[in-house]
Amino acid sequence: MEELPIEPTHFDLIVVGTGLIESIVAGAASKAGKTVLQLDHAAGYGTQWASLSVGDAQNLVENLREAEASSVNLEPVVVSSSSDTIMSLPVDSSSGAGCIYDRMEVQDLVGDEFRDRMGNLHRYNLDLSAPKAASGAGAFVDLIVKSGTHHYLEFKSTEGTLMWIDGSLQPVPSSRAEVFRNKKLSAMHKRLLMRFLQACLDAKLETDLAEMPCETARADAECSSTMPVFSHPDESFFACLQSHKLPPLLQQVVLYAIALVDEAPTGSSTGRHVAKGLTAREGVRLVQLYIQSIGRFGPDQGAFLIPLYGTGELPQAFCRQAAVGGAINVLRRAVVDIQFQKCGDEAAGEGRERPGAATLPHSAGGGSWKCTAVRTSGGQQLTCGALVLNAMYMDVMRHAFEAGASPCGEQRVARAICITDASLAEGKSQVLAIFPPGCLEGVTGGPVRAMQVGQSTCAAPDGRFVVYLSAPVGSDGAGIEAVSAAVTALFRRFDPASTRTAAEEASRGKPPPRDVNLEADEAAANPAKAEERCLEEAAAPSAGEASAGQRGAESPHPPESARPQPARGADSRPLLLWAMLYTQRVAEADEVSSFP
Amino acid sequence: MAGNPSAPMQAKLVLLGDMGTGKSSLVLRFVKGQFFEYQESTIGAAFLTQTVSVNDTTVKFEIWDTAGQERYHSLAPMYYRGAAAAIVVYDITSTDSFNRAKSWVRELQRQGNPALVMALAGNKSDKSDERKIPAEEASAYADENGLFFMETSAKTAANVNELFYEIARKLPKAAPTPAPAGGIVLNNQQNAQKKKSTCC
Repeated sequence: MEELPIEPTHFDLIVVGTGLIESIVAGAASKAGKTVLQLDHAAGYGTQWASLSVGDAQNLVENLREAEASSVNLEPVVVSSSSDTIMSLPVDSSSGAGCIYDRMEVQDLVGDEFRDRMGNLHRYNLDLSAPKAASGAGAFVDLIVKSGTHHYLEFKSTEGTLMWIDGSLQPVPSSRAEVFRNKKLSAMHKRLLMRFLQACLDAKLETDLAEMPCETARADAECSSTMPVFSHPDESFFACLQSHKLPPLLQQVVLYAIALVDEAPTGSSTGRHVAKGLTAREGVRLVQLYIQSIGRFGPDQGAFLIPLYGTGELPQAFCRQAAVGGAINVLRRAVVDIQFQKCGDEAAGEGRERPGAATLPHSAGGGSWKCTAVRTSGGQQLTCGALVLNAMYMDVMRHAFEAGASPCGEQRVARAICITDASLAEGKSQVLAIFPPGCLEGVTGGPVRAMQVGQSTCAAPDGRFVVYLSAPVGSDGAGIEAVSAAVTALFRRFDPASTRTAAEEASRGKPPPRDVNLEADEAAANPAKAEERCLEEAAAPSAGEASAGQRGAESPHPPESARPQPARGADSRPLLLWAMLYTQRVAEADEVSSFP
Repeated sequence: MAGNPSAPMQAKLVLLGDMGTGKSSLVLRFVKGQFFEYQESTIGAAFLTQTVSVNDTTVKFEIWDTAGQERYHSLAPMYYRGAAAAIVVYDITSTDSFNRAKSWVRELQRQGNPALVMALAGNKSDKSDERKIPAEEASAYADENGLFFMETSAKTAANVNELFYEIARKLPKAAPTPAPAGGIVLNNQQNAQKKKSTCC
């Protein structure tokens, strides 16, 4: 299809990418009366937030490999004339995804002849940025309502929380009603937990406390409830939990299933779940958010909301809202270069303070530069007052504006997307599962969170479930192992024939040959994982010979996997049909860091 | 989408068709009884609603406009999602717009919702002296593809109400859309509830 030239050719704001963040910006600017153009090289909305079918997800991995092989470093071109200096910065959207994802690997576990076990592959809506579950009382839900995008969206709430305790998933109380219903908690522990949650709810944490005239007034206000939740707001949340005499299990429930703390534990000898940086004030605020979220949108609703049809609906809603406000959306239109104009010498001095003016392109002799235009793949030049780019252009911009790059820190999150044939919790679809730090043998690092979605949120065909696992990646790469171990712990693997098993075993858990060091790490981690798996399987009661594998379960296990013959008959865990493991780069400010 | 005669039935209705075929004008004529010779490209609203009663059923249409996203072939899939009815509009004085209408019909058929009620509207019937598409040709195409066909004029209001009433009549016969039940819609009223709970 030929490219229809875009009209007009000047916009107050040009947005490149249709991810959630860009779409929110486009929607807000459009609502504020600005002229907005939103471009995306892809044929669909969402950029890295798009919800993909299984085939699309597989293609993405393939394309990423090809793009990496052909990647070239593009250098900016500076042209000076008597009146001004223009720098053209070439950008390449095809390799952009490589800036976001790394170590991508797809495990097609059932093989072609069993493909029908996965159902209609087009009925999956897989979210590579994980399903963005929003706290019902959180700021994002307020944004959806205030922006008017709630007209376009439907949600389902979570139906329960599970925690990995002593080698299996167990329901943990996540609301008042569930505390009462829970049969495993003693009456005393129930009372302690309820009292703690009530104290959190009663605590006054409004920011205006900080403006109170004197220390005593502040202390009075903060401790005005009958039982103060903390002695000092800046003490650690962990100390606060201990002062309420909560037993270790309940501390984990509060930290990881309610406050959703995702900090890695510190190396303290006793506390394996010390969230070091979290103050009592922050922790109590997280608990309050959770409690206020429960039932906000209905009596039986859980704390977190998941969009129907996947996270990809969110950017679409904001794009439509932008379009309704007059913004122009153009898909299949790549930006091939971005043009910057050098600011005058006088302006250069102020430029550092001025938003929108980047400083010091290292390859262009320094100075202040202002983005003035973009050129599309069809050669059309479009001028703009301001430009917003998807995070996939971060590396290109950093390369050009070394010193001018925004100070946004970055973090990687290890993720796994698993397709299974059964729910983690019978009769429930949207389920949150938590692996507290240290609960998986031989694995260090922070908690692993798993969110299950299914047909009821249109994420999968009937009877199939998608489980998203995530963990922050520490400097030691800990999260990758943790996610991989959690997948092994949660699911049973398909075992149709010994030859296939051998191939699977050989390929299991190994990243594509990209980074030699990481690969070595992974290999080093494998024996530990294998051992852990043996323990895991040996622990399962051996009730007769294997019946779990569809056929060939009795065939001998490959000799190279030197592990004892496991008894699989009693293994009632969901069967893993397909899995994708990768790490994703997230900006620190991204919501990703506060939820899987 | 259950045919409960007492409660109004909600039905999402989407309009498709080329720029300038009169999609927004048809909606404005139907919902507000207005017509503007130079209608802006978008109607600037999330969607418009209009309730009609046919036989024993009350249908509340939730009418979505393309918001201009069709101009660069960039309609979001969300737009078709959960639609109970679609009106594909062309301009009887433009062969191009009729060809584009056919490709919109194919696009809708690809969405794979057998319950979708599809209408083909040949708009601007008041300009019959400039006609390029004979009504018989459009009618034959509609029959082949399981659409119902009407020529309309948003300017004179000819057949506009009839078009929407005919859709409403066809709706209860259609099977429910395959969307899962019980989705939560976040709305302002719930927001107000929340404000109450945070201040105490």
